[in-house]
Amino acid sequence: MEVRYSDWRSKEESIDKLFEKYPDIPRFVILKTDLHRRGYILSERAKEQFNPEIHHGKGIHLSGETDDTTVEGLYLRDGTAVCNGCVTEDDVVVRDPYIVDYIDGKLVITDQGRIYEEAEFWYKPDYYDKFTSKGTPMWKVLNARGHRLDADLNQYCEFWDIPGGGCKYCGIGVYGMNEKKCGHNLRVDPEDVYETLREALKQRGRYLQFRATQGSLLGGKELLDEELEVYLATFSRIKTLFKENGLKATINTTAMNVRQLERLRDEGGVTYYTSDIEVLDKEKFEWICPGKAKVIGYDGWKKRLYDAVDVFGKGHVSTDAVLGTELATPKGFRTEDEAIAANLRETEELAKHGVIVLDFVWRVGENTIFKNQKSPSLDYYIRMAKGINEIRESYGLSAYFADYQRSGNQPSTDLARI
Amino acid sequence: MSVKITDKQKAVIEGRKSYKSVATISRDGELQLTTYRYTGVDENGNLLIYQLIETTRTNKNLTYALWFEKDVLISFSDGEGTEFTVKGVPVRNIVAGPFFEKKYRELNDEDFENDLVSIYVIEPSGIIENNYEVLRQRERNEWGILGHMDRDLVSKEDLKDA
Ligand code: SF4
Repeated sequence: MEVRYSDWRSKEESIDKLFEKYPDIPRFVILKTDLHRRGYILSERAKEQFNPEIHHGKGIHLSGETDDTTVEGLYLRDGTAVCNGCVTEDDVVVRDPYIVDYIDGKLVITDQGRIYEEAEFWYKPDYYDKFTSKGTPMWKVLNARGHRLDADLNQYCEFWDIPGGGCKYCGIGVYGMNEKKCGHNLRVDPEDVYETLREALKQRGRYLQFRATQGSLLGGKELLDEELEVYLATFSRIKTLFKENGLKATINTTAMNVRQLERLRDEGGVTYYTSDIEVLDKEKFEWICPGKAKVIGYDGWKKRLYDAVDVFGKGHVSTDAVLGTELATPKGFRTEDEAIAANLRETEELAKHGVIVLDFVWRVGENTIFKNQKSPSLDYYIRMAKGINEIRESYGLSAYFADYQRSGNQPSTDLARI
Repeated sequence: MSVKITDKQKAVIEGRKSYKSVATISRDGELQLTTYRYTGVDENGNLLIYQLIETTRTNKNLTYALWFEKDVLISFSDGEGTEFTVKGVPVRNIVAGPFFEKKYRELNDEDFENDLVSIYVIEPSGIIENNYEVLRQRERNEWGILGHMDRDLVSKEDLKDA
């Protein structure tokens, strides 16, 4: 394994120091945040415990398929989910990862020989080995992120068609481009989604939410109409499975206009809406997400989020931020303090308008434009999670629709548990 | 485990008709007392609290107790004189897996309105007998100096007006 930033331990505060520095932040959440940031690798003993017939290995994602050489996720003792970060010896990483080991009959998370916590592999979904009536393997239709069923309806993002337009941290572009060149189908069939969802729900007590997203589709009569139609084809089909207003779902689209949002609500039965601005500063956004900046713009994206609050309601609209990218060189913020101040200012501005910011811990991807960058310190992510959670609370915004069970990805929504 | 839940207590803990109250403290130090419908005991002798509602203060407080190793109290009564309180710290919150799904199905089959958010595992550190008769007897045996004097007259006749 190649570790890009091998002397990081001498430059950053250790997790043990941070446990002491933040006594009011649970160690589970600090550890999960660092597992997302640094990643984790399975020891040989842990690999022996992983059984792909029982545990969740392979999965389908916007950035491609994973196989049984990595695990999809872990639970910590308190139910905290670790959704990202499983790496293998073949990967290039920024910092050396944690080691998930098997010691004294327990799966444990270790670093430099010290045991930090117990862990549990996620479980293989019951539908995984089944096929739709069209013969599609169901595991290729929906992925189970813990308790959430994820549908990635189209795996190609058209921002990559704009020269220099792809987001610089994004690994979806390369995958989608290659698949497109090979002539592979990058769309998921709505009927397949319907059948897989119906099958998945036979596993009672497992799933709490359905989430759909896709790469941006810019075409149509109006900008994004084509993307809208892809969502509507799936949502109008799957909502027939549920009682009126019974579809527990979130949708993560490119920022849509009022007419499109209303159609999502009225025809699709969508009640919670996400559109990821990704970078919480106009200037950095324009540098990091040039395609989004060109087509919709930073202010335009925010306006569409505010419009979404009018359509779906206060607290029913969120936006993800890939935190840390705003510190990339050469055009990012110079210091973590400066970045945190700007991020929290913008988080508050969005909260005032009823929009929730969700914090995504950036793991530098090898197949991205930013592959030589380094993500910030653990301290940075703790301060951001704490700050975002406090702002959300002070504006009376709840995080239930993206909480520790329904999403499990964001440290700030883990903090919202108490 | 230093404290063992007896078979008799287990029957009350698992009894559908027993009264079960969970006392917790919030992150701001506020006390909370809530009645629960379902509790149990696992094969290791830990107490299980079946959390049916996500948004309650007690759910938050149980997580707070797990995160910061705070005690919680769970009081039981069968309504027929068996009363006790289990004290302990939540050590695990089960949100998924075969055991979770089995319990979800059981509770859901019993009452379709039952959802299951998670199962808190409490490691008991003490069991306090609350049974009135037991407490009364113990005090009288151990602390003869306590109580009103008129209760210990040889004859109740002495209490009557002359
Ligand atoms: S919008 Fe940006 S982050 Fe999303 S898929 Fe396209 S390039 Fe990637």
